[in-house]
Parts: sequence; C-alpha cells; structure tokens
Amino acid sequence: MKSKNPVSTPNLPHRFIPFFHASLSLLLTVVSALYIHNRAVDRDYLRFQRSALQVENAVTTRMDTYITLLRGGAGLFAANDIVTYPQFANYVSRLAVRQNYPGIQGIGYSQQVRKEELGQLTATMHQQGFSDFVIPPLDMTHDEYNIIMYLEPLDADNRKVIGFDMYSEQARRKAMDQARDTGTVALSDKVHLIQDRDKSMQPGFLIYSPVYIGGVVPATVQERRQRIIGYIYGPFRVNDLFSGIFGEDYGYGADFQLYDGESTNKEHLMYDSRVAYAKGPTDDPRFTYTKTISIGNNPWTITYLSRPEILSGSERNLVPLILAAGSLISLLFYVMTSRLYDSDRQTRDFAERLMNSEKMNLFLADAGKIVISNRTEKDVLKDLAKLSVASFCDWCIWDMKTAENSVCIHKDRKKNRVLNKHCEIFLRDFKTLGKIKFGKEKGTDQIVDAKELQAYVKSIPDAETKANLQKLGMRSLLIVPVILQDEVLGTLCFVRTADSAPFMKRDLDVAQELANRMTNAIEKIYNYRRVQEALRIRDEFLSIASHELKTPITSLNIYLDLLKKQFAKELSKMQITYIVKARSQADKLTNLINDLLDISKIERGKIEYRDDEFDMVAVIQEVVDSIKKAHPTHAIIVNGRITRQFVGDKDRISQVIINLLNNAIKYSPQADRVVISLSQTKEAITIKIQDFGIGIDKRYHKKIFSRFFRASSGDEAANFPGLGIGLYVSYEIVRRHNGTIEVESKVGEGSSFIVKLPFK
Amino acid sequence: MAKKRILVIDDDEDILMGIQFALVDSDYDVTTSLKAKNVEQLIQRFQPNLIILDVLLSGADGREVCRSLKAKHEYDNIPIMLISAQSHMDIEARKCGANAFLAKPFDLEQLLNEVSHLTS
Repeated sequence: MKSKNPVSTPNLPHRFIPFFHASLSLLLTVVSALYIHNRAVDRDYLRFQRSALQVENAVTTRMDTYITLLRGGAGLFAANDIVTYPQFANYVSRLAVRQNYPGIQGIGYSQQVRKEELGQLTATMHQQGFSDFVIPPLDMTHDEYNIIMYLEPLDADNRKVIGFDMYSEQARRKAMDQARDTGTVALSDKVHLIQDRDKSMQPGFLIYSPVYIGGVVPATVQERRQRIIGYIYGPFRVNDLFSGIFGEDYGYGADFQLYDGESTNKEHLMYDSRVAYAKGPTDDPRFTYTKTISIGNNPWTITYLSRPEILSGSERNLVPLILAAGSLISLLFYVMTSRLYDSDRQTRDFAERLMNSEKMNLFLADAGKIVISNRTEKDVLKDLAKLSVASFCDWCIWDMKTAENSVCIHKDRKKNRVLNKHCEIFLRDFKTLGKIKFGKEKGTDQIVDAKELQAYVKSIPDAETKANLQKLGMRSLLIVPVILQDEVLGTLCFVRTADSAPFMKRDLDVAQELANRMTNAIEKIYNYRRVQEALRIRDEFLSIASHELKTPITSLNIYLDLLKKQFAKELSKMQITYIVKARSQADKLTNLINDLLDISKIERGKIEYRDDEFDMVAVIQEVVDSIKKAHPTHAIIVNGRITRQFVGDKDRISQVIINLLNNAIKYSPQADRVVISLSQTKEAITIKIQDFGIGIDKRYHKKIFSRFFRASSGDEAANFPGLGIGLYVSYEIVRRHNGTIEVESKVGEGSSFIVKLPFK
Repeated sequence: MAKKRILVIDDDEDILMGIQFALVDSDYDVTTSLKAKNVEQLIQRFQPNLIILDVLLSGADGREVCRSLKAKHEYDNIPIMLISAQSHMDIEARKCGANAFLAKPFDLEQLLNEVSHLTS
C-alpha cells in the first residue's frame, strides 16, 4: 500500500497560497497608499510653501514700503534746516498714510534733546502754535531725551503721544540708537504703543529713520552720534498692520506667527494670524516651518503653519479609500483563492478518491480474474492473498476450512518467515478478536479498533511473539468472514502497518466484496471440480465401455469372417448373405461406439489431429469404394478434380466423408444415386455431397450440426435411426481444420452438404 | 516352403482362438498365449516370424512388452503387430517400435493382408 489517506496528507505549501496572495495584495495596497500619500504630502507641502512665500512677500513688500515712506520723511528734514509743524503736517497729509498704507498709525518726528535744551523745545513748540505742548514729567537724571514733537494725523490717540520721551523706554531707545549708529532705519522690539495705553494691549512696534544735521548720513558712528537731531518714525499696531496687508479675509494656505528678533519665545510673539482671523488655532498643523527675515536690518522670525484647507481635496484623501479598497480586494482575493484552493483541493481529493476507488476496482477486477481462472482452491487463495498485499493491505492471514493450510503473506518478503512462524497463533487470536467461528453464521466483518488492538498486543504473553508482531507491524486490522450458504467457510484477516493509512469503512466494503468473490470462487471451484469429476468418470466409463464392447465385436467379426470364408468355400450363397448382413450390423455397432468415444473426446478437446499430406481424391475414392460395397442401392458419382495435395488428418477427413455419404444414402431411400462434386481454388478445396432424398426443413439448418440433434417427431426424418452424432463430429473435425460445413436443402428436394477446407 | 510362424498374445481367449483359426486357415504356423509373462521363452522356443500383441493384456501392457523386445538385439528384427480396441493407439504403437497397428475390431481380410505383408 503506497497511497495514504488523501485527507490526512494535504499538500502543505498549497494551503498558504491564499495567504500569500492576500498578503501580496495587501502589501501592494500599502505601498501604493504610501506612494499616493507621499505624493500628496509633497504636493501639500509645496502648496504650503507657496502660501508661506506669498505671506512673506506680502509682509516684506509692505514693510519695505513703510521703510521707504519713513526714509522719505527723513529726506524732508534733510532738505530743510527746520521743518515746522505745518510743513510736516502738510507732507504727511499728502501721503494720506491711513488710506494708502493701512496699519501704520501715523508718521511722527521726535527730536533728540539734551536736558538743558528741554525748555527751549517747549518754547519752540509753543511758537509753532502748539500752545498745549507739554513735556510730561521726566526723569531728570538723563543727559539726553527724545521727545515726540509731531505725529500725523494728529487724532485723539496720537495727541496723547506728543511730548513723550521715547528715550525713556528701553525698546524704543535701543532701536533709535541702532538707527542712529547705522544711519539707516531700525525696528523696535515688541512694544505697546503709548496711544493704546488705556486700551487693549495690542502689540506694536516702531520704525525709526535717523535725521542728521545737514541731512547727510555722517561717515562714522562717532560723527553720527554727534550730528543726530531726531528721527522720523512710524508706530505700528501689529493687528492693524496685518489686517491692512491681508484685508478682511485671510485667504492663504499658511497661517503664521510673527516674533520679533530671532527667537520664537512666547514673549516675543507679536502676531498670530490664527488668533487675529479667529480661524481657530489648528493645534496640529500638518506642516510648519520657521524662517527669520530681515526688516529694516532687524530680524523677524516667522513660523508658518499649514492650514487644513490646503490639504482638503488633495490626493491624500484617496489614501484611506485606497487602503480600504485594497484591503477589501485583498480580503476578496483571499476568500476567492481560498475557495479556489479549497475547490482545487476538493477536486484533487476527489480525484485521489476516484483513483483510489479505481485502484480498488482494479484490485477487485484482478481478484475476479484470479477467481475465474479455474485452478485449485489453494492456488486461487494464494494468488488472491498476493494481490491483496500488493494493493490493499500490508500483510494478511487467510484461513479456509476447505484448504489444507492457512495462507500468510507479508508484502515485505523478508518478513514472511517470521509471519509463518506465528501465523497460527495470530490467526487464532484474530479470530477471537473478530469473534469468528467456522460453522453456521458466526462472525461479522469488522475493523478492530486501535484501542482493542493495543490491548491485544499488550496481552500477548510470549515475548518473542510480541516482538515479532511489532516487527511485522500492525496499525489496523480488518477481519472478514467468508460465508457460503449461511456457513462460515473461512476468515480473511487484513493488516495494515504504520506505512499505510488505517482501514476505513470503504476498505471494509472492498474486503466484503473480495470475500463475496471468494465465496463465488469457492462455489465455482466446487462445482467445477464436481463437473470435472463427473466428466472424468463419464470418459473413463466410455473408454472402458467401448473397450469392453469392442472386444466381443472383434471376436464376432473374426468368427463371422471365418464363417463367411468357410461358406464361400462351400459355395453356400444364402448363408454368405446372412453373414454379410450380420457383419454389417457389427460394423454399425463399431461405428456407434467410435462416435460415442469421439464425442467425449471432442468435448474435452482430446482429439489429436495429425498433419498428413495426402491426395484428397484418392481418399474420397477409397471411402466411396467401401460404402458402395455396403450400400449397393446407390450409385456414387464423383465429379470434378482436386490436383493439389492436402495437409490434414487423413483419417478424420475420411470420417467426415463417410458420415456425409452415409447420411446421404440413409436419408434418400427412394433415390438411386449420390453426387460428389469436387473443386479447388488457390485457397481451399470444396467437397459437395448431394442427395436426392427427403431434404431438411429450413428451421433445422443450423441445429443439425449440434450434438445429439434429432428432427422432431412428426417430421419424416424422425423415423430414421441414429444418435445424432455424425454431423456434430464432422462439423468439429472440419472446424479444427479451419474449414466450414454448410447445408443447402429443401424438404422433399434433397440436401447438399458443402465442406470447404482451406490449404495450410 | 516352410510355414511362417506367428506368435499371438491376447488376454481374450475368443479373439485369440479366432485369430488362430484364421491364420491357420491361411497356412500359418500359430502359437498363442494369454499372457506375455514368458514371452522370451516362447520366442526362443517357437522362433516366430511375427508377433501379434494386444495392448491391454490383463496385468501387462503390450506396449511395454513391445518396447522391451525391440530393445533387445536378439529380438529386434522380429516384426511386431500391436492390436487394440483403442483406435488412437496407432501413434503410440509406432513410438514403442511396433511395425504395424490394427484397431479392434478389424476385418479378417485386413488382418491377413497385414500379416502377409509383414511376413513376406
């Protein structure tokens, strides 16, 4: 048994194919999702960067404008030694800064004054019409002060500022000093504007542009410090500034946070577009980046934060979709391939089962062939057992009541010696296990279960037997009784070792079928034996009987011949006639005995045919001559010729001619002749024997060549004597010469028998 | 011309006598025996020109007798004719060295023809 239970040994790699496919598909999904995601991120980032750049451009452009504006103001002072308030007011009002440059609170001028000059400054302002110009109380410990003199447009807020000493405030002073020393504009750090002192503490900053004596920027810092007279400056409210730049609706994809200086400390935060536009802070911006830019030689740091809007509608949204769809497809793929695999496996299982059942069918078919092979029971048993270990089990022990010995065969020939040694013990034990006894219906077929089998092996008292059984191997035991007509005739024990799968229900069916066939075989063997025995007895009897019959006929013939001879000498014609008649009856008796012997020989295929080479015409003539003597009533006419020598059994062929001629004469009592027509071709000779007698009804044409055929009573032919053997024997002889014998006949018109014999 | 001597052995007395009558009638010198037991003594005493031997002799086999005679130098030139009721014996008869075979029952004419042929 090579094949194992197909279900117990699935093809392992195949089982993982669906997983493999699904994993691959999932991986593909993830990779493509990642790719799309990354591309979307890249694009989003680019969009964000573009937005940030737009924001930056807007800011720097506007700030450049302011700086230019303030420089222009400085230019006004450079061109005139003294710029009076009306001149300044006129200049600023022409610029219409609030309309044209929203965000700047105004343009102002602050004068650098020493402590001793403060009084003079107040006087000058009064002279210019600023009658209410007052310098608020100052810390008089400083040497220098920077007093705001003009700030246009001079609204209520700005008016609060006039006279304020900007030098007294750290951030402002630092920016002014920087502007003075560098000779160009400078920005202050974050401040709160004086204008807002009583209001919201909106952050602000100021830009200073220095004004020197003579309007020209001196070459050295030393000179710049000596020649500084004041600053054109612009105060800015940050919120107002940016709402001026960006309008009411902030349409950019990047928010930003603006810090003064290079740090992003919260205290340096001047502006947050998210707060300003009440868009709600997005706590988790996708992208951010921070950049420090230079405005009027001062650093501002801007942190850009991406807005969700630039992400919306992007391919990124495809990612979850792709993941979902991909996973779904993978799942489907898995299910489909699993199904496919399952169905494939089922198909293979089915095919294997089919093959297995085909194998079992073949096994049973082969068993059937052995069963019908008409040999002795022992041989049949042995061959069936051999066949069983070749294709059904690994070893077996069979026991038949009718056979002399039990049959034990192991598929491994080397183990047969061991098996034979313990065969009888195992057989006894197995029969006990299977509860099978010879006799009336004791025992049913069964598979002995593993537990029972283990218990049995344990229970074997003899250590050697036990060891040898383990050597032989025993995993599964199947026991089937052989039952013939309610009688248990034998036991078939099939064993499978660990090499094969245990027996299953279908194996039981196979074993039962085998047992059935064996029952048939045994029955057949019995019947066959009986028939053979009967035939043997018959033939023996016939042989003895014919011998015994022939012996007196031999004497009879001799004495009749002697008598005839004697009477011939004495010329007693009458007596001779009587003797000839008696002699011909004795001949008939001889022929009948010979025919009977022939029949039994033909039946058993025991006639030996010789290959004589002879002249057919001569043989026919010999027969004709002898028959003419016995039947002077009919003329026998021979027409035609056969020139070629024929090879066959001369005596048997002359027997055919004798039979046919005797019949022709017998069945044409009214006629006076029989015609023999001879002809030959390259292949065969034809002998036609024609009589002019009673003829044969067409319905008998086929039957007349069968054994013991006689026409039915009522037919004319039924009145003729004979055993119905001659034509049968003739037919068989011709057949054994590969020839044919046919009849052409009509009732009342005679018959023609046509014998065709081929040359060899 | 001296008469030809023929030894006939058959276990059936009637046949034996019948053959004897026929052969004597045809001018042969005939000795008969129901048994083949003392065949060599008979031959030595009678010096036959032909032996007619039945196959089935009670207690002996004519074929064996024939074979043993043909195997012996002093007898192998004596023609032997086997006779039997079993017509298929002709082949076997030839195998064991017989010079002729005649199936029982036979015509007297056949017998005489064969005998004359074998003794001439």
